[in-house]
Amino acid sequence: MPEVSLVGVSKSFDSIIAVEDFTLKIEDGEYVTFLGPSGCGKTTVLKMVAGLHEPDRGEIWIGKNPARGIPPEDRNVGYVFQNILLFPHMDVLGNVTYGPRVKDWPPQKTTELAHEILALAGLSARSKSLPKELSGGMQQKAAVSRALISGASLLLLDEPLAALDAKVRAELRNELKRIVKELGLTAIHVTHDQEEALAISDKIVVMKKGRIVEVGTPEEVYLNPKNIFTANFIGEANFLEGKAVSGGDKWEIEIARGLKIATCNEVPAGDRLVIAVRPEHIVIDKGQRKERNVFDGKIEDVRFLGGLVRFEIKIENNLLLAVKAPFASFEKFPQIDDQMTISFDPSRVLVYKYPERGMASELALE
Amino acid sequence: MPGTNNAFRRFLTSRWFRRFWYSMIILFFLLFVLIPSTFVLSHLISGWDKISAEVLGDGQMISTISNGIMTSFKLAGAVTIIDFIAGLPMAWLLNRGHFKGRRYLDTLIDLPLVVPTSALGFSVALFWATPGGFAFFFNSPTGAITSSFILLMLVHVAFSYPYMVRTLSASLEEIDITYEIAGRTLGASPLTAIRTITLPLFRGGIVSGTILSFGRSISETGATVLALSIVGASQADGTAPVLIAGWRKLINEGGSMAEKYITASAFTSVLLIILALVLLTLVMIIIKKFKLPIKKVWPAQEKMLSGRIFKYLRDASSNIFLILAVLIPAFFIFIFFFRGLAQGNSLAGIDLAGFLNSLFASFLIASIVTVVNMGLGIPMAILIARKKAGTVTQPLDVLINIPMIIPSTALGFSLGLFWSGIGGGLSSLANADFLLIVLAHIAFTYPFIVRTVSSAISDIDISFEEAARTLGANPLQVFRKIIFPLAKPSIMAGAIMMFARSLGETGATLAVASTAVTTPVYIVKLVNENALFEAALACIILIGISYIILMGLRRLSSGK
Amino acid sequence: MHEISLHNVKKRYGTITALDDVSFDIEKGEYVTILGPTGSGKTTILKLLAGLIEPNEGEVRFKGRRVNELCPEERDVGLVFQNFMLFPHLNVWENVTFGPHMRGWAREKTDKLGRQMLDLVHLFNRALSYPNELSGGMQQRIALARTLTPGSKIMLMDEPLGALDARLRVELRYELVRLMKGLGITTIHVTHDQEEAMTISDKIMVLRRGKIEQIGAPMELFLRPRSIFVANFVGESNFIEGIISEIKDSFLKVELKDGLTVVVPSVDGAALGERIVIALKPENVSIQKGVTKGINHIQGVIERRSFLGTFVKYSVRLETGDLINSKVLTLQKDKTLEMGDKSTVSFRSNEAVVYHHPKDGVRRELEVE
Repeated sequence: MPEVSLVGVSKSFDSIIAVEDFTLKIEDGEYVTFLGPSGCGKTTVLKMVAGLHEPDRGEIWIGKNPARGIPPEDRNVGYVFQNILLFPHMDVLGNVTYGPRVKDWPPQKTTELAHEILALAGLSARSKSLPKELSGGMQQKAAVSRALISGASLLLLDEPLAALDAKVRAELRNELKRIVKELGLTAIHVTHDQEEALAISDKIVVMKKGRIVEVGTPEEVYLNPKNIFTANFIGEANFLEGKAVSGGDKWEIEIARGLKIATCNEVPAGDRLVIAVRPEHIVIDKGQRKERNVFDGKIEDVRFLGGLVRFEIKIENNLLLAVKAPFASFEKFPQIDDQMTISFDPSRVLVYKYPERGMASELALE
Repeated sequence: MPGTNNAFRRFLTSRWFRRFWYSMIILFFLLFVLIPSTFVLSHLISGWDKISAEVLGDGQMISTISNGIMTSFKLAGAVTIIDFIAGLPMAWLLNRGHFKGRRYLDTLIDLPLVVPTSALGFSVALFWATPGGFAFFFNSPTGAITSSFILLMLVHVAFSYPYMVRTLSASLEEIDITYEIAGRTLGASPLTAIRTITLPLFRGGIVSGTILSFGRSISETGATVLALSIVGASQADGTAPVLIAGWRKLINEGGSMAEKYITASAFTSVLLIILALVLLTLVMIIIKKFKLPIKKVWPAQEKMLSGRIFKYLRDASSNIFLILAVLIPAFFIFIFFFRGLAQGNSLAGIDLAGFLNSLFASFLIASIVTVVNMGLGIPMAILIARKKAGTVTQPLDVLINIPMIIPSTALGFSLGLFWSGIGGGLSSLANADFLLIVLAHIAFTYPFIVRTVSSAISDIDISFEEAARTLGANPLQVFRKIIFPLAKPSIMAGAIMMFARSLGETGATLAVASTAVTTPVYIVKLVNENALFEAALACIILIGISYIILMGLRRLSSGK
Repeated sequence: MHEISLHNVKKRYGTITALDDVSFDIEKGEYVTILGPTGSGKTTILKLLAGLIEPNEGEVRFKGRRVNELCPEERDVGLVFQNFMLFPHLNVWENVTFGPHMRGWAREKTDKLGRQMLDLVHLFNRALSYPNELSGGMQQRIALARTLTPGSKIMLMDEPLGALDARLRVELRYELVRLMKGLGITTIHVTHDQEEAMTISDKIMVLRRGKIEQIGAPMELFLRPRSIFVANFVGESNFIEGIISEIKDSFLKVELKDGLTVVVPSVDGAALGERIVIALKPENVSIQKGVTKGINHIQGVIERRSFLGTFVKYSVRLETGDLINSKVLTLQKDKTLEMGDKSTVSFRSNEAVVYHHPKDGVRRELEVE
């Protein structure tokens, strides 16, 4: 039932535009994340879906009904807050049954529902605890149960994991996804954490300054981001600027005099371009030289990341490239100033038009 | 000489010095505020023979005292309830409302706070009880209100209402509004969300609002005397503070009955103090323990009541209340005066020199009290807010409130007894009366600055202090550069409140020294002589000057 | 002479023990992170070092000198807060020069330092702004500059990146290390984010319930975690329980739940028939479609597949009933693996780490809150 459509939605606060011309369709049962830096308008969109703000322009449809004018308490959506907001004067059971109670549902049904949902969240043993007696992760699970007990089929999550420890965050995000899928809900999840978005989403909506930058599956936005902002915001990327040069059936971009990078994308000669290469798509060469995109360099910085090692390698023209390689692939751990040959496949080179407003504004995170 | 400098610094930051400094602050509070304020209680034991002989044995005296006390408590109770019912929606409006004139409304609420209560009470009484006031619209030959009790109620509501609204709205501000929003996303209508979530979290605010409002009403003497005089009621219809003030005058005149009146005043003061403490403790317990019916809901009805119309009605009625019951009566005095001027009333009754003297005395006292209490109250506020006194902090926090709860007349009387009883008494000094008045005013205004500043300081994240310390600031520098600037608005608000309270006080002044003439006392005298027009002029001048001074203080607080 | 040491320090708040017999040494110029869950005592250590609290027992030493009683302004250490704590009533310039100002340094020196530090964080052009006019990232840079102006050689940072957006956090953390290393400052950085700790530290100190679990270089913690808790907290791990069925040289043969056996390195004090726990990093678990046989090959079904960018993570339900995660580089991933596929996971013996079975059970060791 609850597919959500937003058509041309805009919202301003005083004179500041928070959301502009936001159009999106969310299918029934989808887990969608809104991803973007602070102040990009992602939470405002969520609040408009919940009815906590009304859009200035545009329409929101929940299921088959236009949502305009319906107060939040009548929209039957579950809303989970970043700062959790369990009512401090009620125990877990009191919190979880709050929704049914204010709707005056029969007590017996309420109790049954509460036990069901608490069992699902793994909190049955803590139903008599006060919020302050629970750890952050448990509190947020109780808050999710509270949001879902009344049978909401649309769950709105406003940075639900941001207040938690990194380790707890990673565990709870899987829990969230499990609960949502088990109950067959539609979920909209707001976050600024790209790793979280990649890990749990069916679809990611990348936002910047109140507008949608692009929409896609995690694979799409990571492996083939349609623009520079996405390539930078999700995962790490090496950005290089250059001009397209013609070379028959080969397409190449000249980064500096004599330094050319081959790509599989067709590029019209003379265009000013930006290319992006992910550090883990650059391979450390061990003798078997390929013919294209091979560079010799010197290690400037080495960092152990766990499964991966991250290098900064200086190649010709003093260009610095970040490279990530699996730790297990080294017999001897490389040191700073070691020489190294690197290469990358032309198919891994992402190509963009040089942005009108310059690179700095495209890469700005705040 | 870095060596000596270092040694001096080490001394200043040493544990020993810190302990000494904290003890001094606490000692000041005990010696100058708490003990003098409640000293009269000891009279119950030391003077029991006299009490049983002169008061308990006198049937008429007993009934006078019990009438006065009954009136006091009935009045304070009624006023507190009215304040709460009318103040709650107003506090809500101020905090959660979104409308253009919110800042102006905020200032309007504060306006009566800076008007000395006797001037305010006089104005309110004129409005309700004289033919030229509210009754003017109905062409009535008499005032609109003729019952002394109802008049007193209206007068007391006018000056205590702003205290209630301020306290409620300050505490409301601390409750995260997103709790309500969470409730609404769970299906609660706005009213249900408020009733089941915000109100239960709001008890602390209700307790302090009640205490403040009740305390203000039960203390007030000047405004009460003026209102009684205007409605033509006898002082016997008055409250207990009025009785004490009356007796004090008789005591000063001397005579055979003086001893008896001292005992009667002492006994009444003891009763007032004990009853006020007991009652407010009870109220506190009841509000804290009382279970609101948060389990039960009436979805349909509450949804209807949450509707636009009811919200509009609520906002409109609280605004009408503010204007009609507080603002117009409070400033009616201007109309009264200028109408009188137009009708050619003469100002013959005013004795200019006496009036100016009283003004000078009043402002001098208020200034001394403000300065002394800023110096001594702010360290206490820090001590409480940062829990520096260890296990003593908690009890101190409670004891601070006592001078605010007990009626200022009883406090004044008690303080008078204390200081004149010690070391042959202060009364042997040349300016004994003046000194006593200052001491009394210091005692009852002390809690205002400590309370305001300590809550402001506990709102300042302690990490600011930690940051400053690790950047190399010593504790004194931390106060000067960080705490003081951040808490400045609250410190100034506390100072303004103290200044206004001291300026408007009649009861405590009369109780310690009936011969001293401050402006409120002078106004009472004028009204008793039925020189209403002259009294109005005096009030207007008092309001004018205090307004100018307070605006000056406020500018100080907003500037750099 | 160690730059900073804690000797048998205990700190109690009322009845709660925040730190229980903590000792460590930090050398000059090191960048050390304290890593642990909320409430493990990380911030307490910082406060002890800053002089904001005093230990109940033990000694805090700077360069071998006891400083327990020294108050914060005399210690000459910098403290950076999670919420920046810029003084809201002072502008950027006044904030940055606050330290020198409090020390009564000469105007000229103060101005020079302020300018220098603001240039260092690239924000001199915002000198006259007030904190509320700056973005979170800028505020933290200013806070850093403010802490650097007095010239302290020890810097304490309490989750300095915790209040920032995830992406910005990654960018700023490199900036942070570069800055501190460049100035030769000894840094102690508190975080609950193991990835952050791993990427920036010379040394990581893992804290749990007021006690130090392990101190070591990131690689050491990752490859040779001394306890189940560390194995789980620093990078994740798979844990499989089993019983030792054979001890041979430095290897053990371990019988898993359904009789399957694996070969893993030995552990001190291993006894035949003893219950043990095997920890395996998901990066070290390979996965192939279909059934393959060999040492340490176990069959299972792919239950979940999540795309993490650099890695794809497969969760495989083994025949033994255990759930095992395998992280495969996206670049190398076998495109044909999907949810529900029958597959085989395998690992190299020497990449497993073995622990004695904990007396409170494995679950308790894995609690991170």
